[in-house]
Amino acid sequence: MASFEEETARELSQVEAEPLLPAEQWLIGGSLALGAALLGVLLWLSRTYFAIQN
Amino acid sequence: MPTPLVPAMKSWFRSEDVLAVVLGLLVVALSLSVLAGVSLLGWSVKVQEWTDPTKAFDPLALAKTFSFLLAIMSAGAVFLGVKPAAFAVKFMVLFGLAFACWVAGHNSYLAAVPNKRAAAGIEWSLGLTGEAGYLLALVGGLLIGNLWPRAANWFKDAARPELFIKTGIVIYGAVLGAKAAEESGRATAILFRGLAAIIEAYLIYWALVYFLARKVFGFSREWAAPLASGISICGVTAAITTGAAIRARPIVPVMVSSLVVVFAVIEMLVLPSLAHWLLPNDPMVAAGWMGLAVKTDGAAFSSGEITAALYYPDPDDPARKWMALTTTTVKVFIDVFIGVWAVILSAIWSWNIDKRKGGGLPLREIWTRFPKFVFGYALTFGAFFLAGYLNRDLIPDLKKGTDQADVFRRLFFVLTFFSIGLATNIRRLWAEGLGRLALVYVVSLFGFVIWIGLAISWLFFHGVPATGGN
Repeated sequence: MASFEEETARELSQVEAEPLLPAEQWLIGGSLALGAALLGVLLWLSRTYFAIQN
Repeated sequence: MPTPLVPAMKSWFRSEDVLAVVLGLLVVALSLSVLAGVSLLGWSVKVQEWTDPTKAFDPLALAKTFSFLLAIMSAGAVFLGVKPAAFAVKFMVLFGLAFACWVAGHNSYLAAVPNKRAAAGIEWSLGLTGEAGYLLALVGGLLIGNLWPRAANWFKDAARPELFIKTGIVIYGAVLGAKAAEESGRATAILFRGLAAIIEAYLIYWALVYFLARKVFGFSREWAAPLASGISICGVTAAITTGAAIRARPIVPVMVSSLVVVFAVIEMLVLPSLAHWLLPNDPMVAAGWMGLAVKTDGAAFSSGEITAALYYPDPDDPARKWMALTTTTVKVFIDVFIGVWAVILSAIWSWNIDKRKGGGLPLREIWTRFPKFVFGYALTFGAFFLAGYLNRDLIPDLKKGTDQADVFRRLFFVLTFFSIGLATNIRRLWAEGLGRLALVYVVSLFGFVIWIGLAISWLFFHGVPATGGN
C-alpha cells in the first residue's frame, strides 16, 4: 500500500497544466481591483467612524 | 444520489465544532456561578512560577481539574463516536505530558521577567514568562511526533488540536467580551478594523496565490484553488471548504492540509519574535498580523498568545486582552468569511468553469465544512459584552467568573500546542515529489503573504493603543 507521501507525489506528477480561463482571469483581476478600491474606503471608514484615541 | 437529510445533519452535528461549542459553553456557564455567590470552578489548578517544583501547583487542585476535564472530554468522545475507555487512557497520558511541559515552562529560570527575579531568589532568567510552557508543549509534541511516530499515532483519538483550540476560543469569547464591555468604543473599533483587514487580505492574498499556482507553478484548477485558500486564508479549514466548493477530489485538500500544518508550526515559532523585533512599539499591529499571517486556528490563536506575552510579560496585564481581542477578531472573521468565499467560488465554478448538468451550488457541503465554532465564540463574546455594556456594575463579577474559566482556556491551549506538535510530520517537507507543492507554499507564504498581512495590519491597527483605559 502506497504511503501518503508516495500517493501525493504520484498525484502531483499527474497534474497537467490548464489554460487560464476568462472566468479565472476575471476572478483574479476582479478580486485585486476590488481589494485596491475597498482599501481606501475601509481605511476612511476606520479612521472616520472607528477612530481610537490614545 | 443525494445524501439523506438525517444522516447528513448527524454528520455535521456530531462534529468537533459542535462539541467545542458545547464544552466551551459548559465551562462558561459554570463560571457564571459567581453571579449567584457560588464558585463552581474555584478549585481549578493554577500554575505558578517556581524554583521549588513542589510549589508550582496544588496537587489536589490538579486532581480535581483533571477529573473534570476527563469527565467532560470522555463524554465528548462518546458524542463523537469514539470509545470512551480507550479515549480516557490516551487523554490521561496526553494531559499528563502537556501539563508537565506547562509546569516546566513556569520554571523561574525560564519564565521570570527581570523584575520578578529578586522575589524568586534568582540572579538570571530567560524572561520568557509562563508562556514558555506553550513552546515546551509544542517542542515536546514535535519530538514525540517525529522521533517516535508510532507513539504519536497511538494518541490520534485523543490528540485533537482543532477541538482543543476551538473550545478554548469559545471560552475566550466570554473573557474578551467582559473585557471589551469596559471600553465599548475601543472594542467596536477593533471589531470593525479586524473585519476590514480580513476583507482586504482575502481579496489580495487569494488572487495572488491562485495566479502564482496556476501560471508560474502550472497547477490545475483543482489543485490551485485549495492551495490558494490553504496558503492565503486559513489553512486546513479553508483548503477543505474550498475543495468542497469547487468539487475537488477529497484527496487534494487533504494533501494541501498536510503541508499547511507543517508551515503553521514554523510560523508559530518564528513570527511572534519577529513581530516583537520589527514592531517594538506597535503591539496591536503585531496582534493583527498573527491573525492575518499564521494559518490554521490553533496556530494563529496560539501565536497571538505568545506575541502578547512577549509585549506584556505580566499575565494579568489588561493590554494582553486587547491584543488577544485583535488576533481573535481577525481570525474569527477569517473563519466566517471562509463560508462567504466558498459560496463565491462555488458559484463561479458551477456557472463558468466546471458546469455540471443540474448541478446547483454545493451549499450543504460548504455548510458541513464551515467552522461552526465561530457561532459559539460570537455567542459568548456577544453575551458577556452586552451584559457588561448594559449593566456596568456587573463587569467585576463577570470578570471574576471569566478569570476562573480562563484557567481552562489556558489548559486547552496547552493541549493544543502539544497536539499540534504530535500531528506535525516535518519530514514531509523534503519528501520526494512534494517539492513543487512545498515550493509554491514557501514562495507565497514567505514571499508575500506574511508581508502583505503585515502591511494590512499596520494600515488598520497602527496607532491603536493596547494599554490605557481600564
